[in-house]
Amino acid sequence: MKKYLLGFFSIVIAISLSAYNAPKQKAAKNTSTLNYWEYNPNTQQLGDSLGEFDPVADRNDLIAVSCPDNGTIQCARGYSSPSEPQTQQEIDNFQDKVAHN
Amino acid sequence: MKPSTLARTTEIISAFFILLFVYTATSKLLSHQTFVINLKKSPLIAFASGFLSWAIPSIEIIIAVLLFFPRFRRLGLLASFGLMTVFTIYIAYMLLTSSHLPCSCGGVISKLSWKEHLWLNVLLSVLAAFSLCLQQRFKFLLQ
Repeated sequence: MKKYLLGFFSIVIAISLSAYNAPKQKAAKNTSTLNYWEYNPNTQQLGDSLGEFDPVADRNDLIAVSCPDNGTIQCARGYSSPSEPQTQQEIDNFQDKVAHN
Repeated sequence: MKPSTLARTTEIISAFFILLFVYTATSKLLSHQTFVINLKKSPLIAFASGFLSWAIPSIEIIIAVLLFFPRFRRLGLLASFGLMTVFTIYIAYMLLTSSHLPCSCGGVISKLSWKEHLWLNVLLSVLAAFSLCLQQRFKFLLQ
């Protein structure tokens, strides 16, 4: 058994070293999140960017942090970057308009 | 040199080669996609990149297994010497014929320059040959 000890330790060290030096995998981007903006239907204007949320998993966060509850403001959402949309047409082209209840 | 010293030295050199081959094989397997891409960019062997991406780490692991068992150590050292020589010749060819080349090595060895890599391979080939000679001397003394 002693004659295998050195070889065994070499294997353990080699595997540990290669695992340590292995390239780190980037965390997969969560593709189910959407960008949210305030949207005033009276003025048909977009307000502040509310950030990125998962409409299902982050529902409570959305309610707590983002879409204000006053009946005149809705939340617009889409798949583009927070710098969009800029016009009503772009807003109309959005996948969905979410009314906060 | 005493037989016990010869045996011990051969054992240590074999352990070093086990570490080297298991490390490089595991690194190549863990970054398999990168390894394939680099092989595709390499001269002469690009056409067989898919096959070599599995064959090279497999050969390294087989050699490590041979070196692990004292009974097959001599065969493992012969294979180590053969593999190191092939790598050395390939690197020398690349240095003579090409300028900018990717490194399809494994782990920290990929951080070496091509010249440093060549010297390392020459050293490892000499070490394998030296260990084979020691092994041969050990067998002779036992007889």
